Amino acid sequence: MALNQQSQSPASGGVAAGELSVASLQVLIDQVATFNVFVIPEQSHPGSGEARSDGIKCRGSLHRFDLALELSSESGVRASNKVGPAEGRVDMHWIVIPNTFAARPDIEPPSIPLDRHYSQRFALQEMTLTFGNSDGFRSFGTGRTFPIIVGGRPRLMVAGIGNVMEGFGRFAGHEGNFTFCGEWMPDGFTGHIITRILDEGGKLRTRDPLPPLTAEVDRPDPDFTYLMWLAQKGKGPAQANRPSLTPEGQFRGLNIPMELKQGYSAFTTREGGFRAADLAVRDVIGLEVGFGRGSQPDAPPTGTPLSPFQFEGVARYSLNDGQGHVLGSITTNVLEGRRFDYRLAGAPAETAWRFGFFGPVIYGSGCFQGTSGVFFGASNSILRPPPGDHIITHCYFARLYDPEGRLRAAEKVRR
Amino acid sequence: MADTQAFQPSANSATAPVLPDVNAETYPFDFVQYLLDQTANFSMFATPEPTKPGDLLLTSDANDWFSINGGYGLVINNSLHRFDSVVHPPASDELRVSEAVGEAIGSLRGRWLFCTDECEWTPEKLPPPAIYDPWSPQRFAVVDNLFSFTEADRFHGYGVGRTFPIVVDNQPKLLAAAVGNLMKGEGKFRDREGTFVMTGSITPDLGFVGHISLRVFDPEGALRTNREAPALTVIANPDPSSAFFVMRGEKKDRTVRTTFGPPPGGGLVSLVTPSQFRTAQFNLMRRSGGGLRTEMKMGPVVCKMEATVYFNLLAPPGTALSPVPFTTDEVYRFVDQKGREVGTLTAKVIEGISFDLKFPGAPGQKGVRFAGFGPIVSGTGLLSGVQGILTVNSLIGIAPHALTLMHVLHIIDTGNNFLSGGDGGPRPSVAGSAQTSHPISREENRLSEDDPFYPLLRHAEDYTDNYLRWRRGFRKCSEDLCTIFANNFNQHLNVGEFPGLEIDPHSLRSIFEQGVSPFNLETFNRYGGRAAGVFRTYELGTNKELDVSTLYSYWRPETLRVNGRYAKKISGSFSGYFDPLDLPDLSKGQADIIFNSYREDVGLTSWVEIYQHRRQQRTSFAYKLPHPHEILWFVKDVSIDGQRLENNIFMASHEWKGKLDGKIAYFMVAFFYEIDFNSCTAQLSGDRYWRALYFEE
Repeated sequence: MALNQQSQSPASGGVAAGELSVASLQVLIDQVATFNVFVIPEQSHPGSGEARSDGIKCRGSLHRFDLALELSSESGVRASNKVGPAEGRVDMHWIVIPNTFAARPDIEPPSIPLDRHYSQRFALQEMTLTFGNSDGFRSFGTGRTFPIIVGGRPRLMVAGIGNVMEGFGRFAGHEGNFTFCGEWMPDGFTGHIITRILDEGGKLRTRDPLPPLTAEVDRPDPDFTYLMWLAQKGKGPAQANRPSLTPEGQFRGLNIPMELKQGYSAFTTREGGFRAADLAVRDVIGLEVGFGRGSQPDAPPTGTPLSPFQFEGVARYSLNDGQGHVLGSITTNVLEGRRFDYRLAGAPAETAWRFGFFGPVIYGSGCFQGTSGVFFGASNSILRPPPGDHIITHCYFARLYDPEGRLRAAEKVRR
Repeated sequence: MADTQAFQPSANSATAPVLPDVNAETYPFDFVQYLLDQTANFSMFATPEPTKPGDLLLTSDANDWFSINGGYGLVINNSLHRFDSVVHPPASDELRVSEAVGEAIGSLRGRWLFCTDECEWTPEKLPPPAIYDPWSPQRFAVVDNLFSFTEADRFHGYGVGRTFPIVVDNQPKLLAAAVGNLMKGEGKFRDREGTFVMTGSITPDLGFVGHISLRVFDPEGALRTNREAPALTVIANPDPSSAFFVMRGEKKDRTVRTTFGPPPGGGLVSLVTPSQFRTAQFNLMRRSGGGLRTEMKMGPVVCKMEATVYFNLLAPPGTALSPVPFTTDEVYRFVDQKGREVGTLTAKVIEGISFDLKFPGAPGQKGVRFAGFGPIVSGTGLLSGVQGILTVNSLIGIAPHALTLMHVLHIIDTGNNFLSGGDGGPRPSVAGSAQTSHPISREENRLSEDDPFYPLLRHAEDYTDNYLRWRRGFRKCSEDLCTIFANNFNQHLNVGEFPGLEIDPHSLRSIFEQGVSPFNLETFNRYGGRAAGVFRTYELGTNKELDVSTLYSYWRPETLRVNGRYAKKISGSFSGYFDPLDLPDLSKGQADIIFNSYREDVGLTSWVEIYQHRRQQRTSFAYKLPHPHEILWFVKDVSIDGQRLENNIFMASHEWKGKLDGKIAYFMVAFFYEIDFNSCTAQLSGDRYWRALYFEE
């Protein structure tokens, strides 16, 4: 669907800013290969997951991760999480860094010991994802650990944002970013990576439907449930962005409402190498109200791979049943957001943004009452200051502690 | 902590101030200690109330999502409960505190706005915002804070706080503490100065659960009582993983010296102060007549503490808009009954605010009101490895350096090493020799048996049951008697040479119901030395003046401590002044002697031995009325010429202080009543009443 829309958009190049419609710009910023990957640590890798003075090196297998939401007044919000067979691998080099250190891909950071009791920042000095045998990318990222107690046991959740430094195979020449969320296990990292790779040429995507998962492997973190939903701008004044002002009338940040939507993505490495299905954007399922702002007051407004623009914010996501009744809401705080500016080939005068973010779920109500976990996501957008347009597609996720499976859909495909 | 009016650096040395003698006694140490204890102490437990949809926003602007609860701040919505915390006398193998959380007695509404590390005390401005991060220590401003106890009695506060993410038994826990100032009060909090400090935890539902101490300077005694507090209606402990050691601190006596320590740098000085801490019960009650009241009982010493306080000597006195910051290092040493150390705890105040404190009863005395909080750093012995937070809430004098401290050691107690009792169990109480908020154990005076006032003390002691019985009668009949007395006195306001002072029957009723009010030294010392009073007798009904006489009274200026009483020696004579310490032969009938005293159970009483004209004995007890130095005495003749009197006739003597013709004057108006406490009736007795006008010489 997105590729069709792309073919209907103005010819790439030479289009002045403001000449494209919002719908056309939406098509352009959606020229992204979006895919969900689940990482399972590779136990056979010697020394995997051990903290050393030079950091933690570990390896994991990459799996297709299919997520879907079910919303009903009877059972509330439920998610299906399906992890397919391994289709690649990831090599990671984590270095725990001082909180105040500004990590960069071109600087070797100082390493401090991992302390599972306290929240720490880390740099992913090297992270290479390889799909199949030859498609993938090398990346750099940063993130944080979040020690939590679940079921009376300490667990070390981690979340971070990465930027593609160099693609290879089908990923060669592509920009992109990813956000990951999971936890440290004895063998290394397990969890989810949402990846969004710019793909205006459509080389990484296919319109052909991908086969459903016919086999499923167990996740090492079955007491967590992952939720996925999308967000885009709706129509009408209620969906307009508005500035948030201090009592003294100074600009504080931006109030941003969004429509929440069902979404689906998938990938495969079979039959010709890596391909991602177009991101399917479906029905409106709720409302987001949120506030965002830059988190470094004196930082330049641009975001680059060496110095991404940093942002933060709070938002409440309310998910509805088919009749519009709120089933539950979560409040989330984005503690770390990293934004990278880029140019659209189809609208080179526009500055587009690709970004990732994560932070804790602070509060839940309704079917999310008492929930805890981490919220994260990755997005692409064009933002014109109010009353200008905001063209955006968010991919949102939450990793929620759910030992009794009350947020989990019943269906399960077994190997 | 600083008070430049107290600490005067030398004029020619701005960088090296001359350190003052903080132990110098501008007023006597015990007197300043007494003044400091004119403080209402609230020890409360805060439990989070369920949030409602409307509570989820930090501001009223529902369309500004900056204000989503949990984002850049927290909506604080607490009920405030009565709370008992009694520290047991330490044993060699055990250090325990009994806690009981009682019924709700008020509420707390407010907002905590997270801010950057640079945020400062800005009551009139929101702080630079920071997003809530439960894993990182953060500062926050306490804004729009409303403490409510009744619809009328409430106050707005402002403060600052911090979160403390800690790990206990491998489990993360988010502690939070805040300190603030009473900014604007209503009802009993109107025009009051006070400080609050809280320590507890942030709950998963974004609420606060923990302890709040509030201290309100209360020289008028409107918020205090000596009456026994009713039993708590104990609820389940909302935070059984925390132990709160709530203790009262003071100097052992006036000989304990405060010294300056090594300067810590940065233009600060350090003050080293030893003190001792007692187990204490800070009771809080709400009565239908007297309204909100606090009461404090003290038990034995349970630990000794040495604090080093760091502050800027040159800072101007702290105000509500600009308090003076301070920090401390503190070491608590818990000792058993044999004096052996069973554990130590080291803590520090990292967020402290201090305010200038003035005493209406002692204009030249300097003082400071201050509060703060900080982490428990380490422990030894029974306190080895403990974690938690220290809060301090204090009032102190400067020269002399008298102290009244209310410290809370909030210790995380997941292993149940310290907490005992609580849920549904019997209410803990201060064991042993309980003391009230007016410690009376210092430097007792003795009356020898050959002292002419000694028999008066004995009589006052022997009459305890009568005082208590009479006060019970007034309490029982408060509704009827207050109207009778107020009406009659108010009908005679304009008789004679000075205007009367109207009595409010509602106020009088609540005073009768309340019973014994806290000791008021200013009123007790309303005379100092010689005063001459002109007594005029009037005929009831016609108000015709019948007689005039002049009485010369001599009040000794010093207040004695005798048998658990505050006491004063007084003489009266129609022929001239006689120093109570240099009396003539009383049998000659030249002077009468009076022994005024205050004891906590019977309140203010007086015993009079009359020698002039004929031998009489007379006793009285008093109620403190609202105006300064306003008292209502009830005087009962005990005997005449050795014959005991058996009747129910009391003289009600309304007395107050004011100015007349530019001079300080003392006014009295008295009527005689026959009071029947069974039927709650009072009839005017006799055919006359009198009014007196005293001027001090």
